[in-house]
Amino acid sequence: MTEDKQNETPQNHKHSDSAEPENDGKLPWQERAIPIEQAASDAEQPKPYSTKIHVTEEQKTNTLLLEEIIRSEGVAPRAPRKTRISQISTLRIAIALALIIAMIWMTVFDLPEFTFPAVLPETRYIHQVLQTTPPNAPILLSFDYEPGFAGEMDPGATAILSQLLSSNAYLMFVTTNPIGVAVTERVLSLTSENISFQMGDPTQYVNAGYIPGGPTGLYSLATSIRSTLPQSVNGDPIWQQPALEDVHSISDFYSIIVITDSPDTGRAWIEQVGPQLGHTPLLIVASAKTEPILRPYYEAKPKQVQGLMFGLRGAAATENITGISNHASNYWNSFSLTVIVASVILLVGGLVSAISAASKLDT
Amino acid sequence: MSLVNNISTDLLGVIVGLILTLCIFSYIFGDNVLFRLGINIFIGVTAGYIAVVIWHSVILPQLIGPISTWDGSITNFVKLIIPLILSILLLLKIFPRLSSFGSPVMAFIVGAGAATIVGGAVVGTFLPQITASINLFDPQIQNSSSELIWLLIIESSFILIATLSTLIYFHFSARPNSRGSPKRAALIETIAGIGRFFIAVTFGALFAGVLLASISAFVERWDFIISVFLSIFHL
Repeated sequence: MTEDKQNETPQNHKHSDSAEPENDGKLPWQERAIPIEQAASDAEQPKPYSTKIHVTEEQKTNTLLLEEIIRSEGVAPRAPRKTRISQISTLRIAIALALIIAMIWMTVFDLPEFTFPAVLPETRYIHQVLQTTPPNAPILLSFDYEPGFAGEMDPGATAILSQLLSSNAYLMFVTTNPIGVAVTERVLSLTSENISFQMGDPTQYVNAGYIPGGPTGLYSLATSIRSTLPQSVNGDPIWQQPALEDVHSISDFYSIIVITDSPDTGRAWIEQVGPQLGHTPLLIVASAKTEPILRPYYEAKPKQVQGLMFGLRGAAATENITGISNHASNYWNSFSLTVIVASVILLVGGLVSAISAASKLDT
Repeated sequence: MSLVNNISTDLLGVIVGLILTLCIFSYIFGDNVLFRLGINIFIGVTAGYIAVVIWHSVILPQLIGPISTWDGSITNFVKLIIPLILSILLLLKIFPRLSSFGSPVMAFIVGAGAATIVGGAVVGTFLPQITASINLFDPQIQNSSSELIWLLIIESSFILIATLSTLIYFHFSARPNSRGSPKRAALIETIAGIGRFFIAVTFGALFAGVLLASISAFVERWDFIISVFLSIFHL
């Protein structure tokens, strides 16, 4: 601004100010002008701005992570290295060997002999219902377990089926699992080894087969059984059988028995079918793994499930009170010894793990 | 007679069963070809069997059969044609360009399924279990029981404490403490600790059940293997 004024001075004021007297060689307007030295010293220096980016540690980490993700997108993942048998931990083999030796020991020496388990009230109730079943009473039996659990479920299923066939009840088989159709045939075949009955005899039982839809299918079964199950797996009409003529709803059955390895399936039967049953008892034969989930339905007051039988233990107890010795009785000694061996392995493993953790803490 | 005729179906089943069982047990030595072979055979056979069962038990008797024997009734025609159209629309899901036609059907299935499950859970589990928890302290029910009354009261109280403490364990509301980090109230924290104990016991019981189920399957399979070998060597 000062320079502008200096520049315009001679041109703008040359003629107009020429009449005024001179003062120390300075023109009058120069008295009011700021000296150039002072103006230069008063001017502020521009603030220096850094061109560097200030990044926090977290931002740096996130950036690196993003770069890593983007880089990994273009790189083909490395195939997992094939492990050779020699490199595998011997621990797994040792545990398997311990369990197998226990099994072989029991098969060869059959010692020690374990006592059969006590019959629990919920299992005894099933036995009582089956014992008091009149001839030709219609009973609905559902085989809802996977073949993988046949080792645990078959003994219980055969124990129940043996009693039912002995009492001459009329059986109707269903399943909510497509594989259950084959499971039903397998259990019938296993039971025929101990109880004499005619396989495929429509006067003794009918296999109504698969109910699709899971819980929705069960709701349909509970509310309109005749339209849900129009025919048997062989294509024969179901409801013309004399024993089923009076069955118009699910509550017309003498009892409902569900054999399942899944807590969800057991719960679906209780939730969808249970409320429609009235006085018809709902009995469940289930895997040992379902006990913590299904037991509250039995313990509830009023009971939502009237009878329960869990795993090989329940099957062995049932065979013991019925006197029909079958698979559960055969497996009971081997099962008991293997459970003891497995428990010892778990206990030792837990102790070793605790000690090693404590020693790591010390160091 | 040929060798094939001499081998009975049962014996063939036993041999196939033995080989497949050993294939699965080979997992003891880690993931290997035999184990994968066994698994793939099981998956393939299961898928094929399910397809056959669904065709014979569902599609044929409940859709195609009634259509082929239609009696001329308009009501029955509507009852049959709606599932048929919905089935065809659902089948379009396998074609990427036409899959959107199947979406409403899928939505209907999911919606109806969810409604059934939720309704069943409320009527079959939620309300009865709440009623059962209340009934634990009903003097009339306690008097009708054959058990000792004081034992019932202790048992009921124990169940009540377990139920409440487990529910409180999942109460995650917290206030910031002096250092600014969230912390539950001391009383809630104490009860939640008791709830954690009951949850741990539940998981322990579930694990024990799974272990027993697995050992049952293990025993049955090894009993089968040993009996086959014993019969082969006539022992």
